[in-house]
Amino acid sequence: MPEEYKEEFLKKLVKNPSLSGEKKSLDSVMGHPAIWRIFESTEKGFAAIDVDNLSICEYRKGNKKHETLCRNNIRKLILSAKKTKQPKVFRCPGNKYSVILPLIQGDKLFGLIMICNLDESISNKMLSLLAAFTEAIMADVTKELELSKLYETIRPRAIALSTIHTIHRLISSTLKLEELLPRVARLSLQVLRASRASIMLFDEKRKYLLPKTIIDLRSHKTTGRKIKMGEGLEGKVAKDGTAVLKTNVLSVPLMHEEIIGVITIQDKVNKKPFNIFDKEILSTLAEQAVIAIHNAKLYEEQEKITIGSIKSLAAVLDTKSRYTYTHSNIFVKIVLALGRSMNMSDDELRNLHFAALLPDAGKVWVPEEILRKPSKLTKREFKLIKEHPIKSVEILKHIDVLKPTIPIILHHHERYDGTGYPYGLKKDEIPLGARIMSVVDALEAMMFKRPYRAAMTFKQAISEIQKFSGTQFDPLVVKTFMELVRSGKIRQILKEKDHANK
Amino acid sequence: MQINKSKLTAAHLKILRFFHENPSCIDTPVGIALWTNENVKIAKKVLEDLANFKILVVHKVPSTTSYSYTQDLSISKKVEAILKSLKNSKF
Repeated sequence: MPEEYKEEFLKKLVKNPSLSGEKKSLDSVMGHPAIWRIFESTEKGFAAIDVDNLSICEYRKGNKKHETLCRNNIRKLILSAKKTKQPKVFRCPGNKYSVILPLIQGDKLFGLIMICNLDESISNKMLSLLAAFTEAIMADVTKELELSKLYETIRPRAIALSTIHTIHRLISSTLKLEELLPRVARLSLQVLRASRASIMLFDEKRKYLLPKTIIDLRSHKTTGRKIKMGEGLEGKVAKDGTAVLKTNVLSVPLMHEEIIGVITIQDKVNKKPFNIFDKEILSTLAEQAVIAIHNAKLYEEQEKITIGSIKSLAAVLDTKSRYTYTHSNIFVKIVLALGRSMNMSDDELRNLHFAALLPDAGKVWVPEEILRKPSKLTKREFKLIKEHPIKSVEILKHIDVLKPTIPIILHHHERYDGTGYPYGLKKDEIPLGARIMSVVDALEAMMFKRPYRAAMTFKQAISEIQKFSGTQFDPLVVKTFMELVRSGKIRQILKEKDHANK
Repeated sequence: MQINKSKLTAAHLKILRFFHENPSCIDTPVGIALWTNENVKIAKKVLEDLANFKILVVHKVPSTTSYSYTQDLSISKKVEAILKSLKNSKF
């Protein structure tokens, strides 16, 4: 046990219940109370750190001369014990007996236990027993102290590790860069107790660092200026690839094979300077953040490729006959607005988005003269039309990322009362995304001119949708749709007039 | 919501003290329960209460909910005063 723990060790020894037990046992053996005194070994000699009530010592009681004699005697005996480091019985000036038990750790004398006021001397066997008991208690105290030191050392590190693990969970739970970066900044502020955090990422040419997120707890300022590589604090950190630690600012590069940006935090809330541990923590956070940023970027690219592929397929079909196989941007926007209003999750919205981009690809199997026929369809012709959702699935099922959209595409011509196609599903059997698309599909069909009828006004179209709530359409979807209509959201989307500019 | 001292239980104070002593910690209810030697269900309820009092910040993502200590010095000073006043009490 290190020397610096000596004082704490002796304090714990004094309070140890086993030592009280040892005292009681000795008193019962001797038939009267003994006086226990514990001394700490100091540079100058010994200092008493715990003394029983001395008033029971008849020799010292109220006699200054005896007190001095006793004290001098004790001093002499302690010095002798310091040399021998052995337990010892001696006779005190008051004709009583006393015992000295050295407290030894390794080869060092930490202190002494002195037991006074004994009427009789004690045997060597008894002395050995007392020494063994004391040694066992010391071993217990040492263990207790070591455990408490271990706890004091490990606990903060374990809490810090758990915090890092939690941060990892928090930042890897999103693949959206616009959510991820503010989250990383906020968590950095939280862990480092700072007032401002900013994340800058390189532009495509790697010439400038662009401010992507700024969180300032004091001013709530969220805008910053771009910085040229090599200029300013962040520019230098990005150029050199090494962290900069200053009293009020800490800046760390975000590195993934190459530097992708810089995270900077400023001004501790408690006004203290940043230190080397803060630098370590921010570097660890930056390492985690950079993986999450990289994943988010990959995901964004993949999404762009997926949407691009679907749009390319739609564009090919559009060249054959515009808006026969595809829908307008307005359709997609209203579908998504309705999905959001119906509290769909991010994943569900993603699938709804993909489904809305190309829900009727299967119509390529239907002869164009049927699709364009202005008069009533024959039974055979309508049968072909009813099969197009199944054909759409045939086309899209080979694209893995579109598989979750298949139920929406397959059932978006079902009707709430079960009279739709292709399978006549009703109510909740129809996926929510399909029930949403059904309403918006009808809105679009009514508002835009078709070969077989003229376009309706917005007012007429929504009146029709309300009319068929509960039969053709899910009443809950219609209710939500009408809320969007009343809020002006649908009109706003329609005003964008990009029907022809997909 | 104002901190209502009379509504704070022993579990509230235990968790409050933990965050006050470890202001950089961000952890889940299970983690906090472990550090404070508290029952997980009780810890969850206490964490929600302390978040309502704006003493704790909630970090909610689909897979987990985590909590951290407020950055608002006026709130942490109030917490310090509460903990000091209760230092010698049963808590």
